[in-house]
Amino acid sequence: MKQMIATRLMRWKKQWVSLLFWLLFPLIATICVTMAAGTLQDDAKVPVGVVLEEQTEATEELVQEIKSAPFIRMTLLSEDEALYDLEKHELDSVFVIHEGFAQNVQQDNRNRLITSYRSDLSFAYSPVKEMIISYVQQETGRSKTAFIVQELDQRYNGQENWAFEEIVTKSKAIQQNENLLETDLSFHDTSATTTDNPRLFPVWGLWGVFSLLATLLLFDWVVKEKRSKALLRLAFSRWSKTSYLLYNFVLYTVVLFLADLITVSIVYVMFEEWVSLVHLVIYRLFISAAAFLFAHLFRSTFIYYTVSFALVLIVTIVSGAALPTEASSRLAWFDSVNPLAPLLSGDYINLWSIAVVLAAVLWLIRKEHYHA
Amino acid sequence: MLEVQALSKAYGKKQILKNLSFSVKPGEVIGLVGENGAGKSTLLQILATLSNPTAGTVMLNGESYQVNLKKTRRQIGFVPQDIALWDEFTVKENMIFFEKLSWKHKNGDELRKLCYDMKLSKWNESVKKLSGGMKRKLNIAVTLIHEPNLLLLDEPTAGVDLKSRKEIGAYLSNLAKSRGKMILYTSHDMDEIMQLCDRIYCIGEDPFYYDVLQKYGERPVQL
Repeated sequence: MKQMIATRLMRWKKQWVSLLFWLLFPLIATICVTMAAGTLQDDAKVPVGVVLEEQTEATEELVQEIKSAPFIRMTLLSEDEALYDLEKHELDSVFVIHEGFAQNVQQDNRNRLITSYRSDLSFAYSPVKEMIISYVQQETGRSKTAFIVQELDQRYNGQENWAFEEIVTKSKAIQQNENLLETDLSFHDTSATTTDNPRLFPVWGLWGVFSLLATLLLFDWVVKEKRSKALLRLAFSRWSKTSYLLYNFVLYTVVLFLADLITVSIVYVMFEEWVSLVHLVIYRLFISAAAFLFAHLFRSTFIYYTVSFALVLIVTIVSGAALPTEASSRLAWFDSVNPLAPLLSGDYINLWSIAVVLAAVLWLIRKEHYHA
Repeated sequence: MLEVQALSKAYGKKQILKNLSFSVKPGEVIGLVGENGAGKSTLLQILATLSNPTAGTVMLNGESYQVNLKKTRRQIGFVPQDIALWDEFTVKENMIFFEKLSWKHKNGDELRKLCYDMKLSKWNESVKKLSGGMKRKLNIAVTLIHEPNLLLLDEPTAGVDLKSRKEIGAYLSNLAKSRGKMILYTSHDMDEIMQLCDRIYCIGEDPFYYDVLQKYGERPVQL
């Protein structure tokens, strides 16, 4: 094995630039696309200006509520600034939260709590307005409930003597625990899928696509070396052609897996996204084995590259790994042959894995041929 | 000693080699001649264990090809018609690369000497930049790393200048005589064959052989 590593290092030394490029390509491409998509997402959000005339817990909560809306980019401004930006159409709408907001909400007084402004080009005014109104309704409703609970306690000589804040806090806790808006519903016997990833492109789906392409292109050594006359010499060496190819497959897989581990660490640090290491190992094994076996079908590198690009494109579109499309929901059967399935869903006992294992067995038991 | 008995090879209905028998003793250089498509390369491939005969047996130093393929291959060196080297490597890197895969271990000095003995001095030159003659010499040098007893050369001097051709010829002749190697050699150049080989086998429709030394020296000619 030491000798085999030495020969492979000699080969890599001659092509270190392309080797390094394709090893790092999935990571770099994933980071670039994710960051570009993040910027794009931010730019696509509706710019809304908020003017706070008082700083209380209630106004702070309202600001957080508006900020948490995925389609809004909220900016806190003075009224003059906000209206100036609105006139320049740099803001879609402006909401001025008047002094006494917290007190009015607490007293169930719903009149003139907020003044809103819109321009002739405002297109998201209505949904933002509705969102703010619903929040105010919710908070005034909560206050009303707290007063009723206190009143009932007094009327029926209750011993609890709940404070207003205590009831409000309890109410918020119940709301958070039983929040129907964020509850995942699923059919009987099917697991619920969490959809708390707000990214335009899922990081691991994206990386899966890029790593599939990089793996296929890195395994072009099989096409190049298999057709090389130099490999004929293996018939008169310590290594058979099969063992030479197999050992080199292992070396490539190990190096690719090391690059994968670096990727996992960097992606975690940058995007706080994690993937199971077991899934990653299985994905790497299957994807490398598939690329290795697939490359055996070609004699021309040009055709191999063309088919590889086409395959990756098909997998990207049909699997919906990088961007969910209509095709991915129409062709549900593709899940069973999706090479990205072990990585994305941990589903590795399917038609795809069986096909790779079968092809590997056939390759191992085939007769070795040498052509002078 | 290489012994070939009743060797035949057919591709489908096309008979390439028919009932061929001959032997090669240590120290002998045998020339294989014949028209294009006569089966010279096919014969070399069979003798190099790269192709199976349709019928017949081949024995090398008492070991049958069919019985112990791995052991026989250790004794064989095959120089293919094409340059079987890594183009992007230098002479040194090619020698080291194939040494690492070889049964026999040789150090850098030994590998360098092997090249120098063949008058291949451009140790650090890339194969891409070597002349045709130099490439051919390196092609042979790499084959000799594991010190084979039987050396099979398929047109090793094709497209090579006269000087390199003579150097290759002299080296092979010396290798056979001084180290007792068996050499089988195909070429279209009859002058080269006559000068280098002890015996010549002409294969084709009507196979025959010459004992060159007798025709041009002391031995009787056998037809």
